[in-house]
Amino acid sequence: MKTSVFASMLGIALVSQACTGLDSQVFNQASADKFPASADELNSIVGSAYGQLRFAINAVRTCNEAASDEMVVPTRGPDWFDDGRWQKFARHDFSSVTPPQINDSWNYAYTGIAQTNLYLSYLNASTLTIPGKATTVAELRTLRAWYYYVLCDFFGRVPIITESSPAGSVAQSERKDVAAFIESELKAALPDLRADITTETYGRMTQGAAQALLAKLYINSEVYTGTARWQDCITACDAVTKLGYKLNSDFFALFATNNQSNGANVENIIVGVFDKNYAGGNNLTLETLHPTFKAKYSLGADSPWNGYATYADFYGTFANNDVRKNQWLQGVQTDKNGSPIIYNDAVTGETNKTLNFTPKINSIEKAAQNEGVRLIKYQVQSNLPGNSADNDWAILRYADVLLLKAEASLRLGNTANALASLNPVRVRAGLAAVTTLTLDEVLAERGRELTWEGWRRSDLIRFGKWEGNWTTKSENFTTPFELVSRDPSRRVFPIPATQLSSNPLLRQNPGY
Amino acid sequence: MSKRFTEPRWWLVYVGCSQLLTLPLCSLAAPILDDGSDAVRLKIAHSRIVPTTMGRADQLARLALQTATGARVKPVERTITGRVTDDLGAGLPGVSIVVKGSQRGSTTDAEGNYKLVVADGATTLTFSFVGYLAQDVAIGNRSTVDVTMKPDTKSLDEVVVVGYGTQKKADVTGATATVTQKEFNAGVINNPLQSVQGKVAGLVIQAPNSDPTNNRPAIRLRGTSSLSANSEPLIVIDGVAGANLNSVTPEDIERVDVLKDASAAAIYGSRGANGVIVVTTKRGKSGQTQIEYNGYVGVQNVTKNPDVLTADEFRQKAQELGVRAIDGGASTDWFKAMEQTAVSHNHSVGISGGSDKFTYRGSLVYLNQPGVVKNSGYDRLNARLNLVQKAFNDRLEIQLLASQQFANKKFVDYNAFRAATKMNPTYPVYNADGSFFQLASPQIEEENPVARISQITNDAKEKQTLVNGKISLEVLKGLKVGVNASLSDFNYFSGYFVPSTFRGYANTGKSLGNRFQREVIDKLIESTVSYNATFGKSSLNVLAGHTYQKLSSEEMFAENRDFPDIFGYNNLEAGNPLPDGGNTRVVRSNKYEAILVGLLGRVNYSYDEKYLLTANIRRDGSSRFGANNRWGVFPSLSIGWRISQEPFLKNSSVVNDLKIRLGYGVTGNQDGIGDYASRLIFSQNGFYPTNGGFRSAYAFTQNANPDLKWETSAMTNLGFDFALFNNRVQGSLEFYNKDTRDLLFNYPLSIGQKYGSENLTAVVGSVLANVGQVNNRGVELSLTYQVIDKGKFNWQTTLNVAHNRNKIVSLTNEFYKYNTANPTTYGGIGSGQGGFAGTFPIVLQEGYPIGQFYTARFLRFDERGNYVYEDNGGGGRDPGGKDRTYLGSSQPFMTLGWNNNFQYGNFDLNFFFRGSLGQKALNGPYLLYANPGNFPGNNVLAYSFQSGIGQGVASQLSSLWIEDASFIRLDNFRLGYRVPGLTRYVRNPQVYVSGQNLFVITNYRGIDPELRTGSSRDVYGGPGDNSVNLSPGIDPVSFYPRTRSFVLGVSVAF
Repeated sequence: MKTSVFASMLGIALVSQACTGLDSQVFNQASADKFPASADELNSIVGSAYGQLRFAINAVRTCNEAASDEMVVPTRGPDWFDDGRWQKFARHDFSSVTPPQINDSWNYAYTGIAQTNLYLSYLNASTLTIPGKATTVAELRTLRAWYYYVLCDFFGRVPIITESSPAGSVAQSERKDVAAFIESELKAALPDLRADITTETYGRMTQGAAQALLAKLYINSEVYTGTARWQDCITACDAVTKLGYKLNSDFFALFATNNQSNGANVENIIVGVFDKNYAGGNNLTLETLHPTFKAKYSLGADSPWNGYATYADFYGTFANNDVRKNQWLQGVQTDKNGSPIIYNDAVTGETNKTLNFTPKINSIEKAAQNEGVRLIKYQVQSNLPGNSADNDWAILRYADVLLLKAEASLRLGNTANALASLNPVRVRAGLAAVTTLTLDEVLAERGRELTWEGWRRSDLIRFGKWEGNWTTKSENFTTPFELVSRDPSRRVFPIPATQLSSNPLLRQNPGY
Repeated sequence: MSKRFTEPRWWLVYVGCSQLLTLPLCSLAAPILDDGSDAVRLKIAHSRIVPTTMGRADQLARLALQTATGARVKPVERTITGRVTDDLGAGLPGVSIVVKGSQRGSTTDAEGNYKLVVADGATTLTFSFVGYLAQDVAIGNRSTVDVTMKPDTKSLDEVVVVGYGTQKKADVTGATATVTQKEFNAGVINNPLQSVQGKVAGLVIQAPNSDPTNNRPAIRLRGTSSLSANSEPLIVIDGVAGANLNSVTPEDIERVDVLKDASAAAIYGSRGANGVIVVTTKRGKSGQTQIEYNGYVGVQNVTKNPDVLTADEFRQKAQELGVRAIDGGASTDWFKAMEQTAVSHNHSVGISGGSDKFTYRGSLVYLNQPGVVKNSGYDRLNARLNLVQKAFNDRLEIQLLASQQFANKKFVDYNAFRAATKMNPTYPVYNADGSFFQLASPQIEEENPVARISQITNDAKEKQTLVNGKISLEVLKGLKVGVNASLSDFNYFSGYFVPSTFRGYANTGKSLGNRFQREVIDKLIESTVSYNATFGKSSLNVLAGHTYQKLSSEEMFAENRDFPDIFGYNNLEAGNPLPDGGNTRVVRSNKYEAILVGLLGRVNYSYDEKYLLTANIRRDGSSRFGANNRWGVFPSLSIGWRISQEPFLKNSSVVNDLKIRLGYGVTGNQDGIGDYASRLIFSQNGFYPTNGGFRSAYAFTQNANPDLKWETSAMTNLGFDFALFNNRVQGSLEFYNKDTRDLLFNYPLSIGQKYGSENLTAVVGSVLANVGQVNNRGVELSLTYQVIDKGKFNWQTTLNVAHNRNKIVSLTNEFYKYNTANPTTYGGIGSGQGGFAGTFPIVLQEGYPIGQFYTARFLRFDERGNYVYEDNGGGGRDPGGKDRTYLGSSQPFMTLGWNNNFQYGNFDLNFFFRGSLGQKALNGPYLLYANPGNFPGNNVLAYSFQSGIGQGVASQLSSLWIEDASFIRLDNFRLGYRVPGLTRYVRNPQVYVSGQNLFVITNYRGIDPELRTGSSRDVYGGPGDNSVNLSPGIDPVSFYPRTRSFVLGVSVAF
């Protein structure tokens, strides 16, 4: 017995000598030297580049809206202080550290850029024969152009990194050079992009997407480069029209839970595709609704967070017969059975209160739970397994393109063309066509049409209204407040501190 | 005879192939073995019965006589009888009695009686028994020899279990400490290391609460020296490095040795940087079969709940303030409604015995420890069998050590305690119909916590098997070869079930179930060869070895929803798709592995037992590291001088022992990083839309770092061991300085940035890299003073005190520049919805310790009850940004343990204080729930109304909530009574009462000042939570209370 124990241990000892190497195997992940190995696998990694696109719904949208005149996130007693980030947005109190969504936006864009760069170099290097490779390359370049667009708009001067950038940290380019890079990339990609508006191209970068982005770039050209390019904007808008995009007759269908398949794709040009199972992250309902709506709509896991609201005077710009006014929840709210919702307000100490959304808010530091009207533009989805809804996020819509053309035409003095572009948007909303037009009215129409869609900040800057006085209006707040700064330097965000630390060549934007 | 050596030859084949062993060793051993006729010579060389005092010629002569002359003249014999008792007069069984100078011997029976036939010329008997001083007793003309054995208090201390062997304590040149079973903490203890908590200077063992399912305390030895990697010492159980602590129970442990400094830990090379804790389990003892039983019943209660308003106070306060408050009509103490008195019981049965060739010890230990929170608890069964077989005149020793643990855990969702803090106390627990009361829109912070802990099932089963075989053969005198092989299999299987009837936070009205399984297999094989020799006054011990270890983990997870509640989590496939056909099924699986290889060598040399030297070297390789840096070399050197052996002190009446030790060594750390941490990895990363559907997308999820390597710690240790005044005062004093370089740190990168020596492109926002340096330096003092030693009455007091200073020296290197102007902060408050997203109170900054608080300094409240902050660049308006400043550290200035042991007759009394002084803590519950603005919407801490915070002023993080968390705790108390008059039937019958956590002296306002020190090590060293690791000292708002326990125990042996 002893001998056999001994012998078997020796056996183990001998066997062990066969494997003294350090090459551990990788099982559930793939080492980069072994993957991708087929055209399908390559497509699957290129596909993940699109996974990043939809997250524009988070930090990028918040930065564009929470500091504007159409969204406010007041602190509500114990909730929504969050290190002061929401108040900082409202006060234009930006620093290289807070609000953190500024850095998140930077990361959003550069994550997308890094991915597209990597996939572009993979595609360039790959010897696999992939059908439609040229189109894939063009899509990736368009996608990358979108991320640079975000950076150009937010930060102005940013480093341009491509798949062929040399080693080492990259210095910032001037804002006009970033804009020029975006333009040249989009133009280079255009010929190879698909032009069809079909299920196959849904959620992907198409010629329509590239032209719409060009239109955005040109309308802001004066802000970005100092040189206006209104006519180029009109040309790009017309190119979108020529591709067959049109206004969807039903405004709310654009934001429905089935907006990927209900025909909204004739208008939703660039979309971030969400899905409750496969592509999570659409929490729009939760951000704005009151907790009691969980029962009303049989929502998924969380009770809504009761945060985002709008300013009373912005709400006031909607006429009563404007279809789009229905996107707001105002006044007494009812439950499933039509009875008023009763709740207890932890902020005011009031109990058994009827839930009544009032436009006016006490103050940015302390708002009762019912203050501020709420947005339900995106269809509220019931019976979810979790917090993520199915509605796809419309990043860039044809209605926006029409309004861009109207604005550019008006700025060039062509009121007739401007009216021809703007009126269809008004008419769809159930409003009468107008016969005269001012720039202020264009901005107001943009506000009503594109509420909370993530364009307001750049619109306000372009129209010279970014340093507006909505925070000081007594109709908005019982206790109004002032912006921390009305300096034009606030028209770009500060370069985040984290980024300054990892790239020694970065220089902070002036004024920060 | 020669046939017997066939196997050793095989062995040598293996040894010869080992990467480490060099030809000279093989050639040294082989020629002798090849010649079978040399058997006699071998026997001579290895015989253990030869007294070492004899000259070699004498030995040969005697042996020749014994072995060669088969028939000898039968000598005259006589019989001697007697009784051996312990110092208290009880018969001692199993005592070995040997006629000095012969092999003849006997052992005592159950009553301590013995009978021995001795040769007429025999003059002396040697009585020996483990734990007692051996005695030589002259026989004279007596036929009855009764002996009283004296306990040997020092006997176990005399040897230190160092890595890959033992060493006489007197010869040790590194900083070590030993705790033997006798000194273990008593009470309801579910983790072996709790038994030694506070007993070793510089070893900090902290469980952040009393949750019996969370039985893995955080362990720190001489401070924290890692950022992203693990800072816990390496656990070695019976020679198995990295073994799971669950494979032993306190009852099975003989001793715990702590290797503190680099020279002691260097033999574990790349894994020794945080020190080593060596656990040795009990072995059987030759002699009579012994059955031991130890059992206790323990009663545990919550020491303190947060001081929230009671229902009456709640109503009264609302009236007083003139506000309307919801009155649910009930009076509920939500904490009490969740809590219970927990009665634990523990039974341990050990059977041991054996002959001088074969010993065994088997044990079964069962612990049932319900939680003080309802519907939670822990129970486990440990079985262990330790077998030791000796052969070939004790030259061959085979050990088989096998253990198995089965454990069940029922978890508590700590969020329930957060809800209990905030929930209105006038709400009832149950509705009139017996169902759980719930709010219309429950929140994680405001729901019925009793429903959460009662309705949701959250449990797990754990199995831990550890089979360990050892074999050692003394090939030549002093030359030993050994193999240590072990297989460990850890299996974790959990289940989670939310019934459709659950109406609390995050309910969907549908059932939800999931199961998770994890298996970790750890294979280890080590071979060593050692050589011992004495030349004149020199004594030499050389050790060389090779180790190979492979760790593999496999995991599987499945989840589904909407099936009948009766299935629980046992029928996941029964779930239904969503109404619109959407899928609710989730499946996941993965597997990963790591390989560690090491070559080790050690030389111990001493001259005249005065001058001591130890040198270690280890070369280690790990698959976790980058292709450029997979191997590392870890040397150490230490020297000692036993001054008390010098002539001028040898006969001193004051100084009985004095030794100076000086050591320097380099050790490494790699625990707690991912198995593939150095590689560029693609993973499934969501889905991408295509053609109206979705397909799996893959993306880079980890940056490569081909340069990734060990953290290396260089430690210098100066130590003094002393025994004074007739050994009444004993102790040691240590000074150390430890520089840890190339810290493993998840360095933030911007995506797309080029990084590292190969200018790679960052694909995700961080890379695990070797950046920065941390320094720990400190002093440790251990003192034992025998205050009174007067026969019946003894008083021994032991004090250990440690001071450690931790400092981040640098976070920057050639490739990575840390932004010291805008340093990274860590440590969430733990309240996703409390308005504290993104609030991180602890900063990682050069020149400051790990756990440095960094937030605004609170000055006062203004007339409106708003906070006024010190202006540090933000005008006092930017408490989360520019106005932050450095506000103390969560690391203690000093930790201490003070033990007192009294003996009077049959009574013994032991009490033990443990303390930690000078650390700061962030009082999370006060920060969030001491705000009058939360009242009456939520319940609040009573302190709210004295806080000075204005109505409607949001809670804000600042120095106001950073408190001194120094404490001294009466950690353990034990009163034992040795029941006399029963010794005829049982041995060592004892009953005792003990208490744990009897009181705490502290100024801290929270429920307990002892908070987490960092993330505890995952079983088998998976990546820990980086953020938790870097944010010690935060009192969480989702918590589990601390308990006080009283135990009544009994121990007997048969």
